[in-house]
Amino acid sequence: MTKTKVGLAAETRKLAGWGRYPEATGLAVRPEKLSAVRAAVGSDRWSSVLARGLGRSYGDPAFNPEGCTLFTERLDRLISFDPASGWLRAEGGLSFRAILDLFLPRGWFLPVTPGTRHVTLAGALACDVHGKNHHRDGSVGRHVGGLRMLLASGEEVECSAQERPDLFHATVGGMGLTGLVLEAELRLRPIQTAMIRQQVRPAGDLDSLMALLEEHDNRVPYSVAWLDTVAEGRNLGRGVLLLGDHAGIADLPSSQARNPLSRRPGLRATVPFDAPGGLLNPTTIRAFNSTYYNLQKRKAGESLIALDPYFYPLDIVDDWNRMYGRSGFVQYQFVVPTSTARSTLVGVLEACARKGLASFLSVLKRFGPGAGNLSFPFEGYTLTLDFPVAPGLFEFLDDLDWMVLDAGGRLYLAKDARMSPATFRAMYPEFRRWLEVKHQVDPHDRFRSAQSVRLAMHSQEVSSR
Amino acid sequence: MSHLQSLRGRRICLVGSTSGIARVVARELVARGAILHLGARDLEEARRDAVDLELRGGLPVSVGRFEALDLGSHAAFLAEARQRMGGLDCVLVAFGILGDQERARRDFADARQIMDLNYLAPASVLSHAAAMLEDQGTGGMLVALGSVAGDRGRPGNYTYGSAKAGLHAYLQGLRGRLASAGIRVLTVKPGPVDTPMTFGMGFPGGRLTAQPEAVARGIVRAMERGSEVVYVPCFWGLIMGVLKAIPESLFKRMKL
Repeated sequence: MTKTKVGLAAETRKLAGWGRYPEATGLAVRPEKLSAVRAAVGSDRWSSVLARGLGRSYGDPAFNPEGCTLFTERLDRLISFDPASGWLRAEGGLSFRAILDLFLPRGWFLPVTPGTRHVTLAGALACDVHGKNHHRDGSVGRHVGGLRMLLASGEEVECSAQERPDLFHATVGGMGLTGLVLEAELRLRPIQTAMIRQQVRPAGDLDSLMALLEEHDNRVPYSVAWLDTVAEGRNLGRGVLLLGDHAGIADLPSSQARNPLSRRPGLRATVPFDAPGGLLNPTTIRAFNSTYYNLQKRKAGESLIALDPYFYPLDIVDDWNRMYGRSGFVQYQFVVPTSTARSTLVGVLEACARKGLASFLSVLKRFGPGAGNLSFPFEGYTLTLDFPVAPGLFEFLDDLDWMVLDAGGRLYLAKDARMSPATFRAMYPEFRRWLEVKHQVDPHDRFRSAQSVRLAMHSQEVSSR
Repeated sequence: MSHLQSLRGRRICLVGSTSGIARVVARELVARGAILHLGARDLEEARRDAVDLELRGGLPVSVGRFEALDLGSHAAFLAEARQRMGGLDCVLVAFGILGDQERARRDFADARQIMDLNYLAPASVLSHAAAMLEDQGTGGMLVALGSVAGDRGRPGNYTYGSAKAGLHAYLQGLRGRLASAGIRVLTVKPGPVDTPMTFGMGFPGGRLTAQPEAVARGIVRAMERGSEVVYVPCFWGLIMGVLKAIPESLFKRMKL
C-alpha cells in the first residue's frame, strides 16, 4: 500500500546521455504526482538524486548512477497561460514538443528552441539552452520568469531574476544541481504562421562565412552556419549560412494563407538498431560533408520552409544517435570570444584535418551575451563538432581544450562527457559564485549527477575551505 | 459501417482520475470536447490535473473528493458530479491497485484490500451510477477498467485477477440489465501499461507493455464506437483468446 500511496517504485536501469557515452547502471524512479516527487527527493533509500528530463544532453549530466535518477517527463501539467502576454506556467517535465502541439495552433512559438523538440522545460533551463536566435534573443533563461523549486531540505521556494536572484542565476544553466524545478514560467512568442522564410547563403571559406554571419545577424532573427569540416587549404571553413525568419501571412501562397498555423509534419523515420560498426565512419562522413555543401550551394536563395523541419531536422529520425554504433559519440561544442574566434576556428579545423577527423554535423553560430552563472553562451562564436568515440579521440580533444582555453573560451556542459575538473574551473570563472549558492541550498550535495561528481562540483569544497 | 458517437459536450465523471491511465484518458477526452468531473482521493493532485485539462481543452473541469473504500459516500459523490457538470452522461471507473500477490498470500487483509479496491468499490460506484442514469432516462454510458488478468487466474496475481474477473461479470450483468434503457456498458481490459502501477516490476517482455497514450486512445475510440468489451492494445484479445482456450489440466502446469 505504501507503494500506491507515494508511487515510489524504483527500478534499475541502464543510464546514458544522448551520445550514449558514457553508460552506467543505476536506480530510477518516475514520479507522476507532487507527493511522489517530494518523497523521491527526500527518500533515505538513496544517497542522492538528480532530475532528468528527456535525456537529450549528450554526455553524463542527466543521470546519477550513485543515487537515484528521477525521470520527470510525466510531471508535465500546464498551470496557467496568459494569452495577452504569452506567459506560460507549467510543470518542469513538460516537453517543448507538447508546448508546440498545444500552442502553435493558437499562434505561439517558443522564445528559444534547441535543435530538438524532445527536451523538457526544466531540462532546457538546467542547460540554459540556446537556439538559432541566440545572437538576438539570448538563451532560454532570458525568457523565463518565476521558478518553483523543490530544494534538498524539502522546502519549496519561488525564485526569479527579481526574487532570490542568486538562486535563480545558479539554477539557470546550473545542470539541475541546485534543486528540482517543479514549475517554470516561459514567455511564448506570438507568430502568424507555421512557416519560415529561409535564405541559404553559401560561403567558400571561413572568412567569408564569418563575414556573412556578422553582416546578417543584426537583421535576421535566426541564423546558423553549417560548416564543411572536410574542406582544406583555401576552402578551409567553407560552409553554408542558413538564415530564417517567421513568415507573415502575406508571405504565404493563398492556398496556405487560409490556414496559416497548420503544420506540415513531414517524414518520420527511425533507426531501429545500432548501426553495425557505425554507419557514420570517416569515409561516409567525408562523403556527406562534400555532398551536402554542393547540394546546399545549389539551393542558394530564398524559400518558404515549414517550421518543424527548419528547427528540428534531426527529429525526423527517431533515435538518430544510434547511427554512430555501439560505442557512442561525443559532441564537442565550444565558444570563443569574437576577438580570438578566427584564429581558434582555423586552429581547430586544421587540427581535425591533420588528425583525419571529420565531424558529421558541424555548426557555427554567433552568440550574444549569457544568463546564469554556469550558462555556456557568451558573446562570440560557437562551433559544434561531433565525433564517434574511438581510441585516441579523447587525447585529441584534450589538445583542443587547451586551444579553446587559450582563446578565452569554454565548453558546453550539456555536451560534455570528458573534460577535467581543472579545465572546467578555468573555463567557468563564475563557478565559485555558483558554488556559494549550491552550498546554501544543498550543503550535503543531495543533487548530484555523474558529471557533477566527475567535475567535483561539490558543496563540500566550500565547507572544507 | 461503424457509427461513431461524438464525445463533444458529453459530461463524463472520471472516478480515480489521478491513476496513470485515467490522467491520459482525461487529456484525450478534453481534446474531443468532453466536459469532465474528476474524482480522486488526492485533491491537490486532482486540482492540478483539472487546471491542466482546462488549459488544454478550453472547457471547465470540476473536482470532487472520492474515497473508494468509503462505500457510503459514493452516491453523494456522483450526485455532486452531476450537479457540478449540470448533468451526467458517462461514468468512467479507473481506480484500482495491483497489490502484491506474495503479501496477499501471507496476509489475507492484504488480499481483501485488493478485492475491495478492484471489485467491491468499483461495483458500488457502478451500481449507483447505473441507478442514476436509469432514473434520468436519457441513456448514457458506463465504463470500467478491468484487466487481462481477470480473464484467467494465474499463481502470480490471482487475487487481483479474481477481483477483476468479478468486475467483468458485474459489468456483463449490468450491460444486459441496462440495454433496454439505452445505457451502454464498456468493459476495458488493458494488458500491462507503463504507469506507476507497474513501474519497477520489470515486466517480462517490455515490448508487451503499452504506453498509456496508446491505451487511452484505444479506450476513447471504444467509447466513441459504443463497444462492449475492448482489449487495449487490441492484440491482447488474441493472446487471451488463446490462453483461455488452454485446458485447465495443461494450464496449471504452465509457468505463466
